[in-house]
Amino acid sequence: MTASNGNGDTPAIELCNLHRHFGRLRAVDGVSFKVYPGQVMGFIGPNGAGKTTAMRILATLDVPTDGEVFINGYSVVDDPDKVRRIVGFMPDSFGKYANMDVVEYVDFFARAHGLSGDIRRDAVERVLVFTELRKLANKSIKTLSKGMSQRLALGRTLVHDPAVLVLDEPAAGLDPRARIELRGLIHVLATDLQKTVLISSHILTELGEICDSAAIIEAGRLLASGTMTEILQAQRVSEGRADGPAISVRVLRDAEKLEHLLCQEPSVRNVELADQVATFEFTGVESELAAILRRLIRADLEVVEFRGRADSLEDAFMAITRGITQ
Amino acid sequence: MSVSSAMLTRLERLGDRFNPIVVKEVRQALKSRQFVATFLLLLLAAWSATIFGVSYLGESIDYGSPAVIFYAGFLFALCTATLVIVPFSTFRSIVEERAETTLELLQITALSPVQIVRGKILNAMVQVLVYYCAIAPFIAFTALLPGFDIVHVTFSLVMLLITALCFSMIALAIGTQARNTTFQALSSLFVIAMAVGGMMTFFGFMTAAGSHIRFDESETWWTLALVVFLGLSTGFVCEQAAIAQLTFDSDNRSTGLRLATGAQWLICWIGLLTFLIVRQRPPMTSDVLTTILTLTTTQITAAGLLFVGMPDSLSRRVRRGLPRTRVLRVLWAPFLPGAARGMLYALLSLVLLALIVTVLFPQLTMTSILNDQQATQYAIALAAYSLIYLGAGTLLGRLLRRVAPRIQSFQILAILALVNLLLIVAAEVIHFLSRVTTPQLFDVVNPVLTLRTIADADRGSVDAVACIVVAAVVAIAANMSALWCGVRDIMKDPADSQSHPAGIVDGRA
Repeated sequence: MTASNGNGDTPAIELCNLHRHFGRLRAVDGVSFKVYPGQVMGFIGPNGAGKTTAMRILATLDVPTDGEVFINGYSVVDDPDKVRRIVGFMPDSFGKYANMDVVEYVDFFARAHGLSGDIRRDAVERVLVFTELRKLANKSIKTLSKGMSQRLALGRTLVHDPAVLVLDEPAAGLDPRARIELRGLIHVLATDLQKTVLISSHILTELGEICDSAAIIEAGRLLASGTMTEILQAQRVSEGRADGPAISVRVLRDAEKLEHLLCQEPSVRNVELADQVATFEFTGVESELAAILRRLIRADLEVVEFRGRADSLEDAFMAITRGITQ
Repeated sequence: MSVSSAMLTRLERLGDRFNPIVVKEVRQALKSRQFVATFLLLLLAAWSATIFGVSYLGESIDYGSPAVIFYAGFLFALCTATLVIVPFSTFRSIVEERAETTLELLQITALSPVQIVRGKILNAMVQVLVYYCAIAPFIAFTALLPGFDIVHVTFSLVMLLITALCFSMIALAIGTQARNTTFQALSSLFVIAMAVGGMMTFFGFMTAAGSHIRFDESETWWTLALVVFLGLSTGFVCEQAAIAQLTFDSDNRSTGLRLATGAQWLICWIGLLTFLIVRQRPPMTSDVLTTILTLTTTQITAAGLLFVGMPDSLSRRVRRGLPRTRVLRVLWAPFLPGAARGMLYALLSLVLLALIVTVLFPQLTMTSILNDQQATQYAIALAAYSLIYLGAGTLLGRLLRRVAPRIQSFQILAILALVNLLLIVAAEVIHFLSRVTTPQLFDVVNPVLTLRTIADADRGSVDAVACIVVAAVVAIAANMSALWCGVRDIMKDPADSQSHPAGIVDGRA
């Protein structure tokens, strides 16, 4: 029923031809991907792409119209009870209760997950310490800032120590400091606590830093999925580029001479000149790149900038998606 | 370890055994302004009534029956808190859980829908008990006054507790159905109207007739048992409806509700039989029997109509829980989800009811409607109408589901009611245009009018009954293949079936 990676592991998350239709709207349309234990996968797509719908199915809040979803080998439709023990879902809305303080909130969800006695007390303490909310334990949750609320929501998600985390837009609406802190917490969860994380976000630069794989979805369809290297490769292919990285050179004058020299280099392709900056695709090894720079300087070109422009998740997203909404 | 800390530890251990929803809601309630305000207002009202009453009566407080007046005042305050405030706050509680999206957070925890619903109801009962505690000293005060009737006071307080429980269950069931803001606003008004109306009725009955109840007569206890059973069973049916609303899509949402509605009427009839046998009463009149029959058939039809609007397919999860043997699976079929099996459930309920009325009742109690031609015609027409509505509902549901796969039961029910209403209006228009005032055959589209005509033994009622029976046969015949498919589907081995994982029917999928 479920596939495994080269190491024989069962995928922590597996979507097989997932469909979710609302009348004529195909919110999710044949999406398939796998996330292996310990991986952090970014789930990327524009608004209305179907990310939240797919995540709600993963969290057993909705059922597929067709297809299968497995968490650690358990079907979300057939075994929702088992899935709920394994998954921690953090939706994009916080879910506040009136007249409740931080410790009561975490304690309630610990009880709701069936924890009792010392195990519950330890779990609550562990979560408060991890999210650094210990000092706000007796503060009313209605008075928490957005950043603190998100920390609390993460704490609530972690209270039953789930192996798989599904985080829907956890950084939405946070200020830069809170975003960086939250990113740090997710990084610890993935690296130190070995959680499998599926995370959606609009802030792609941040996802690029914490994810080791990504799935890009648009209008309900999966456009690309795989490791970051594979995604960036897909971007290059979609742009009609070869494997090499893009390099840009800025000179103070004689830009035409620079273009002429670069075009003569065998490992340089697709030279483009804009203002005093030449951008090209380099297909050789690094020593050849150093030789090119040396030759440019010997030709009396006043080089003020010579740098490789690394492909980013943002570039990949823009290249792969087409801005379709439904 | 000190005594107090040891006690706290024990209390905390005890708290681990409580439903988490109760713990949460009690914690919240104790901090909420609404609870504190209601509690203080209750105390203030009781204090004011006591001080005003004592100063108004002066020395005459020692004569007559001032306890009755004082108790009525305290009961009114308690009724307001327990029959209006508590059910409404229970309703708001579930509506707010949905609005704040916390209901979804609860649904993905280890809490079952039963725990969520029972937790809310238990919390309502905790609040009721707190209000009881608040009013207790004032009732103790009335015990010192002349005219205090401990039996009546106990009776009214117990009945109030049961009524508050039923109201909270009904309010909770309504709250779970209210998914959008318009429906939430309308249902808020309905709950308030129901609670205020119910409170006034309860208070009116307890103050006017409550003290005249003769507890030394066994009929009183039989009647009380019936009233309490009807109230609690209705509350239980509502609780099952609330649980069904919170149940995961691929789970079984129907069996609990079908068992509850079936048990409700069946236990009532068993109680009635037992009463007639034990009390050795003379046979019941046809009128009484047909009235009870009408109520039961209406209940079966209403429940059946809700079930026949469901999609027919079973999820893999439900299939997995089916009994192993085919015989057991077939026996269990009427209680399983699905429109055709809903029709089967109602059909079998009607058959069972017919058996009780025509075979069991005459044998055991000498009460029969078969000797009364008019009553027999009425009963046949009643059953036929039920079958027509159920058949039409099943058929309509099947047809509508082809165009709108995710249509809800209540939407099918609304369309069916609208079609019937249009037919009734058309019949009235024909009457108006033809200037004929006597009942005609086309009036069979109006069940109320037709049943009244039969009951009044008007001319032409035999034709009307024949027409309805033919329509009922057609309604069943039109659904025979669906009924067969519904049972055949269950007879398949669960392991062999290739059903949809979530039991969703979507032609486009």
